[in-house]
Amino acid sequence: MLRQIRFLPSENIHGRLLPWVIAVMVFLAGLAMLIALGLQMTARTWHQGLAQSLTVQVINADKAARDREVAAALAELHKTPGIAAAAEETSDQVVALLEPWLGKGNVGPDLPIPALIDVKLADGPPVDVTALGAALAKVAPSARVDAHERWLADLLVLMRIVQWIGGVIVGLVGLATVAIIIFATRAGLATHRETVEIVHMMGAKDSTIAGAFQWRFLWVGVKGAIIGLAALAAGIGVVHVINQRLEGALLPQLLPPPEVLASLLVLPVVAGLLTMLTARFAVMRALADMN
Amino acid sequence: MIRFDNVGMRYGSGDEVLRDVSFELLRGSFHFLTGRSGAGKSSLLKLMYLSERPSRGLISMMGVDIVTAKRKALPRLRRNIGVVFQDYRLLDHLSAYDNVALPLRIGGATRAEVRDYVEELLVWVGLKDRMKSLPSTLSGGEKQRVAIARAVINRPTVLLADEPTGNVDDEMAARLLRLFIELNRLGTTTVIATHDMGLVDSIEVPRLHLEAGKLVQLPPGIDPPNDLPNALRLPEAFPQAVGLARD
Repeated sequence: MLRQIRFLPSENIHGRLLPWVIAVMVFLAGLAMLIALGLQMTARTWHQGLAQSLTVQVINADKAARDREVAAALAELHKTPGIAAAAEETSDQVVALLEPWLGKGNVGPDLPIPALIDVKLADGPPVDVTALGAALAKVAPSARVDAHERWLADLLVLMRIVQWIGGVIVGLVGLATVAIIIFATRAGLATHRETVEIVHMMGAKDSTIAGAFQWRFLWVGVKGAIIGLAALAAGIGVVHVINQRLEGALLPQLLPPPEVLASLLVLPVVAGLLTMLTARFAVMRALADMN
Repeated sequence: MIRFDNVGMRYGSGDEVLRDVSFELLRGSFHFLTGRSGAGKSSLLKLMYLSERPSRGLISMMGVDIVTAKRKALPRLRRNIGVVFQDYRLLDHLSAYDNVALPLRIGGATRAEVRDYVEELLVWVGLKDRMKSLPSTLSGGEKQRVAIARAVINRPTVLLADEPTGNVDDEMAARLLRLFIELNRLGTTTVIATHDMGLVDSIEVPRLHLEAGKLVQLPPGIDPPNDLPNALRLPEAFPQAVGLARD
C-alpha cells in the first residue's frame, strides 16, 4: 500500500473543484459536530449544576413581610433532611440575573422583586419536593419551590434530539463526500484510462495503480479539510465577537469549550483518510472490470 | 510457452474476429505474424498480451491457463511479456527515460538499476540526447524506438511487436531486428506482426499467417535465426537486467 510508482500526470487528476467541495463538506460536518458536542457538554453541565439544587422564591410584595417569610423559610430549610445549605441571594445577585432580560440600569428599587433562596441538596436520598413545598407554605405562605427538574428534563430531551440531528448531518455529509469522491475518482480514471491500461498491461498490480491515485486523493482531502476548517475557525471567531458583544448572558454560551474546539482538528485526518480510502476502493472496483 | 486450442474471439456480440485458432509456440521460438489488415493480427496479439480473453477455446501462456486463471495471477505473467504497440502507446506526460523505466519500476527495480539499464538502452537505440524529451517532441521513428526499448528493458520471456519497424529507416530497422534476435537468442519467445515483407524475407523464421480470422499456416516449431550479420551488439549490462520482473 505504501509503494508508489509515479505514472500519472503531475497536474490534478481529480478536477479543480474537488478540494473546494471537500472544504464545504468539512465546514458543514464541523459545524454539525460543534453543535452536537457543544450541546452535549452544555447539557451535562446543566444537569450536574441543577440536579443538585433547587430555588425557593418568596414573592410577597411587602418587603417587611417578605423578609420575615424568608427568615422563616430559611429556618425550615435548615432543619429539613437532605438539604446541605440554603442561603438568600443578595439583591445585587438578583438584579444581575434580571438585567440581561430587562436591560442594564432598568432594575430600580421600585421594582417588586421576589427574594430568592438558593438551596444546595446533599448527596443521598432525594428530597421530597412536594412535602418541602407544603412545609414551607405553613411558615412562608408566598414561598414557591422550583426544583428545575421538570423544565430541565424537557430541555435535555430537546438537546438530545438536536444532538442526534447533528450526528445524522455529519453522517449524511460523510456519505455525500464519499459519493463525490467516487465520481471524481471515476472521472480521473476515465480521463487517464489509456495511461492506466498501459500500466496495467505492463503488469502493475491493481494495488499499485490504486496506490498512485490514493496518495493524490489523500492530499486533496487534507487540503480541502484545512480550507474548510479555516473557514469554520473564521466563523467561530465571528461568533466569539458577537457573543462578547451580547455580554455572554442573554444567550447561552455560544462557543463550545476548548476541548470541543480541539476535537475539530481530527477533521483533516478523517477527511484525508476518507478521501484516500474511497479513491482506492473506487479504483480497485474499476480495475476489477479490466481483464 | 504459448498454446492456443480452438480459440475463438469476438468483441461484444459481433462476429468472431478469430476462429478456431490453434497453435503452439515453443520457448525461445521466433515467429512473424502476417496477414492483411482486418485479418485478426491485432486481436491475436491482444489475446497473447492478456488484454482480452477468448470467447471460446483454451489459451496457455507460460504454463498458465489464461481462461481459468485468477485475475491476481495475471500481473506476474504480464511483467514477463514485452509489447511494442503499433501506435507506440507511450505515456505523453512522461519523458522517454521515464517511459522506458516504467516496466523496471513496476517490476521493483532499484533506482540505480533503473538509471543504469535505461540510459544504456536508450544510448543503444540512438536516443542518448532525447532521454528527457516528451513523446510529443519526438519523431515517429524516435517514438517507435522508445516503445521498443520499453518493451525489452526487462528482457521479457515473451516479446510481442506490432509493426515495430514501420516508421524507421532501413538501418534502424536492421538494428532493431538485431535487438529482437539477440533477445530471442537469450531465450525470449518472439512474435512480430508485420506487413513489411522485406522484414519477413530478411530472416528465415516460421510464419503465423491469418486469413479472415483463421490461421492458415502453422509454425514448424523452434527455428531460431542464427545466420545473421553480426551488426550491433547489445549493451554489456543488458542481460543483467534479466529477472528484474520475474516475481
